[in-house]
Amino acid sequence: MDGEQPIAVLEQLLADKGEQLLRTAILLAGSRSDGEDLLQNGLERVIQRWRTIRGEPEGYLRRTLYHLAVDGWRRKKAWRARLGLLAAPDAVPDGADAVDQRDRIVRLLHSLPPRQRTAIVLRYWEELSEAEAANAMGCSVGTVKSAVSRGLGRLRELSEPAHTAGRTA
Amino acid sequence: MNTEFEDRLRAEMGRVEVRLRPDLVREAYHHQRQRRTARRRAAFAATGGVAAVAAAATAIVLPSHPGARPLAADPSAKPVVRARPGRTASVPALPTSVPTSAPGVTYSIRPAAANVTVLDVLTKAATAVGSQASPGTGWPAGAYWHTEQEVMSGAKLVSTDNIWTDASGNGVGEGTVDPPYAITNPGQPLADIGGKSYTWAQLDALPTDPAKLWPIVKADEQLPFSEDPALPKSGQSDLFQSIWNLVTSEPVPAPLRKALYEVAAKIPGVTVAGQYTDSLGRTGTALHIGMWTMVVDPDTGQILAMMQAAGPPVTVCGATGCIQQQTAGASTNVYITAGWASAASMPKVPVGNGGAAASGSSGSGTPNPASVPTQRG
Repeated sequence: MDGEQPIAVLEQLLADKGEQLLRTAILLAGSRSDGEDLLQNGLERVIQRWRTIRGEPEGYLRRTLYHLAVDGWRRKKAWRARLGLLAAPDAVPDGADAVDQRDRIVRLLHSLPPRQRTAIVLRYWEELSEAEAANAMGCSVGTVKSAVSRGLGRLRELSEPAHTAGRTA
Repeated sequence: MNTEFEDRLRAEMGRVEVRLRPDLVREAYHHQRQRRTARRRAAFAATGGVAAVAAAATAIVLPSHPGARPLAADPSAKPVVRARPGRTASVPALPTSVPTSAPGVTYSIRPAAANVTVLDVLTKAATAVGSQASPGTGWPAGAYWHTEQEVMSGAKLVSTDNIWTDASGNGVGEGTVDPPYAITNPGQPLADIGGKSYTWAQLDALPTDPAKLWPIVKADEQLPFSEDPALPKSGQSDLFQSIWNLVTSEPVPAPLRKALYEVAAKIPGVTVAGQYTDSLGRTGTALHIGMWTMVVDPDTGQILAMMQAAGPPVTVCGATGCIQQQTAGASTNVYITAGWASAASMPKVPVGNGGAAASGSSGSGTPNPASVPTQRG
């Protein structure tokens, strides 16, 4: 692989659907800077596996984002930090996190544990069915159901504090 | 369900501003090369590699769904985990989009005796379960219900999850990947039978006579019952799954457990797949319907594992178009332990990990002080 082919194909993909993919990544990661990092990690994975990918790389990239969000991504991040190869993504001084403050939903999602957040984003943004989300997350449908239910409950609680306060003795 | 809230959620997700860096792909390319170089340098020994389990048994391929055509050699379908230097274990390659079919997944399932029926297996298991005491003495017999389960994707262990929840659904979770996090549940019952939700108290109130329980359970199933056993998403397949999910994940009193096993034996279309040995070395009988395969030890009634086959490819539509996506490979849950626990046995939740106690602004909605998830004895 000479390396230029995946770059050209992926740049075209990002030109067409980059914003949509980045939005999904931000929602999955629960922060703007982490979302960018997640998307970049996904792209790295696609490049790494380029020779084995058949068909459209977009589907592969999406699945990778889902998997990384629920599974390996934070571990990868730790591994990367240990190698000291790359700047920590949070150190990017572009005011990205200040923008997060304007995006209430990103802030709310950030407060959920990864599995609940992924389940919510896959069900309500990516519009996967419970079985599809279970496959994407590598867990049972029951786990997806409970993660969605717990995640939704938590989001509702956080976004409607007055309502919750009224119920809490 | 509060669809208005869910719609608002979707709308807010769509409004998130994005600003795409133009050099993202090139950066990813360079990082990937750097990483590859670093990986070669890192002298971590590959731990073990793959214990290639070539069981001296017939390996059968469970069809991922009816109509699935066999897939040409697809690296993503191999249930093999390769350990590489400097990495814990590689995530199996993900499937590409626009597939022609979903891959089958090979489980090593040995043939069972030819004359064994589903009714035999579940009746024997039900008898074993019925002779056991309910978990703990009295019911509920502890503050928290604790389960430990392995979650595997293909042959790769994704996470070993420990979950502690109380009767109101609040508690603590912890996984191999997830550090301890608070589970808060504002009053939603979490035990499902066929899509119908039950609280622990409602479970306890269900009839334990299978003849009375069967019509209730059948009515709980939201998907249509079909007499076609090949349909993967049929009511009976979903009901089968939900019963075992309930039995393995919630505190079910022994008489109800026994009745649920007997009721499950009435579900049409379930077949005996054979003998299966799980990742912990425990052997049981595998029962199969649709996309589900459940492994039970008939002698003790214990549910050992549940495998989910890959689903058919799906079409996913976003803001700018639709794509065909392959559902990823099969997953397996291995049920390690389940039982009552005290708050003292739970891990501490770090501040800021989604806990109600961490936010301090709103309670978890439960009046039970024992359920504050961050307390450790």
